[in-house]
Amino acid sequence: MLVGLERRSGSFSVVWRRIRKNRMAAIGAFIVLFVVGVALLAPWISPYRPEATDLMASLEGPSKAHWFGTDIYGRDILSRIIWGARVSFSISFLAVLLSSILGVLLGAIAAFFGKVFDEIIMRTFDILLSFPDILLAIAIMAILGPGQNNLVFAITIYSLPQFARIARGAVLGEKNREYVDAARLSGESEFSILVRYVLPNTLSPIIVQATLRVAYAILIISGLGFLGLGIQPPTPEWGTDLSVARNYLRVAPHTGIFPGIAIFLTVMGFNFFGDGLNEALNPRMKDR
Amino acid sequence: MKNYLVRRLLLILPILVGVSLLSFLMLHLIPGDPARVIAGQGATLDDIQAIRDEFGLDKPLVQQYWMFISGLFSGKLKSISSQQPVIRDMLPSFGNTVQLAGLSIVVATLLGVLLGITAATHKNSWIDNLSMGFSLVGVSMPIFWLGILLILLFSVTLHWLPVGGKSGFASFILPSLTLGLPAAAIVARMTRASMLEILNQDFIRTAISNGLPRKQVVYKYALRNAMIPVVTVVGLQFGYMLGGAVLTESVFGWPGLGRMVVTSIFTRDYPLVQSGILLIAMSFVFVNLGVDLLYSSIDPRLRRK
Repeated sequence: MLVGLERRSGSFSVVWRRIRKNRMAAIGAFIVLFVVGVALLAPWISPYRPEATDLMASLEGPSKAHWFGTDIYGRDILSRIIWGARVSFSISFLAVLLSSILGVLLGAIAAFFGKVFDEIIMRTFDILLSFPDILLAIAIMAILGPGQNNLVFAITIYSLPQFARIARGAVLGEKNREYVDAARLSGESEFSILVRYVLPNTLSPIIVQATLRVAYAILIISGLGFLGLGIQPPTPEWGTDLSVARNYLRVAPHTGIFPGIAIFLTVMGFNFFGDGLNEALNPRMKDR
Repeated sequence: MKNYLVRRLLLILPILVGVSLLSFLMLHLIPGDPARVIAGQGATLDDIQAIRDEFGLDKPLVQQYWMFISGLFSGKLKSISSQQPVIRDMLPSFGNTVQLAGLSIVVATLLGVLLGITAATHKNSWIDNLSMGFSLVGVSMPIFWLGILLILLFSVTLHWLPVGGKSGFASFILPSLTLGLPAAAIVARMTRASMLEILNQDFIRTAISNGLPRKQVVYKYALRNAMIPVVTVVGLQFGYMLGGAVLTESVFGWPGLGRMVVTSIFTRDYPLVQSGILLIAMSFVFVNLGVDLLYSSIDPRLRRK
């Protein structure tokens, strides 16, 4: 990944300096690092076990013992949010990784080899994109049933078309450059030209897209959780916890607030960071 | 224009076939024997055989696909839980979703365009920063949490508006704000960018230096040109709302189609799930087509491509 950055924009440190100069991107990077840190350190920093119930302490407001209060089963909301970060991240990172690799490969093949490949691959993705917003993910979860692996699969499929489109566009822009002809004349095979020379030059929009896609993935995970189609209780997940909280808003409004803040901040962090990365990698596009 | 229309219609035909094929195949993609899946646990062999006969599950797939599509429109395809034709179960809920999305898009357009123009004409002022801050918040907001916050404020604390359900105008307000605000953020961003671009162009500078009142230039000449990309964004947002409304519907107990699909997933009412998903996807495709046609009728340059 770093190699690609170096090739495109001088050096990694240049990009890093540009990100630091951009206030939004810096805030984004800070939030992302913070939440990732929380997710990694969950076992050590969460004050309670996320699934430990205490019916005597049901729906208590924020206090010294429970900073964010407790839910209907008396579980510590802070601990559930901390562990929820782990759940959201492991799913979204894995899904975005899978869909970026697969999507980029498919999009690149479509653009580079064109004709039948292009038609079949892109028309298939057009069909997937005809299911608006969260609907495709809902349909896949309806087929597979709830569960963590199924969620990874659903979000991978959901994100594939975006990566494919971007990779396709980028490869179309690169494939008629002189260096491609030069590689071809020196006897490189088509596939090796694609993977060794063309793809590394298309990396920066893909990295930006991957960052923004993590934000979408987290929204979809929590949305499916809220609908009851995602992570199943008692596993801590922000959206799932909010759907339970929805029933107790009158008596315990705090249960409906903190998990939402967690989703919102995390998604915002990735959006800011992604936008900042975009400006740092493509300084000319600044006003878009 | 006529040629363009025909070409666009031909282009969406394979998409419609693909979308309907995917919705149809859903049932067969579920691991296990589809008849057993529909029958649920504890069904006798006779029950399973009855379902197999009713849905024609032992027939070739092509024939089953045809049964699904024709049954959907002729009313032969019935919901498992209500035993009513799915089309009769779906239409009222679909109407509710369209009403909600319709009002939400009005909210999004009015608010978004207004904010966008103000931000563009007062670039880098506090109002610009505020409206851009709003649009940044809007894209990161989980829509169902926005709904919960609005309920907490306007229903639980202030007692102004109902918590949920669909009963009279008051019950429309919170759901349409929930669905409309994030879209307003996107519309505002687009309007601002588009306005700024137009305001920098020569014909605007000419108009102003010729002594036309600034207000007239902004609202008559600039706005009309700046609205072209905004129309597309609004249209696309409306399409997205048809699918995204499911979360809002779920927060507010709104009797829409998305919510019906989700409920039917839990009751394993697969005919309703399949046809609900198909109906939403189809309307999305047609909304996009409409947006395309509208766009090319406003901006004739696009038709020639």
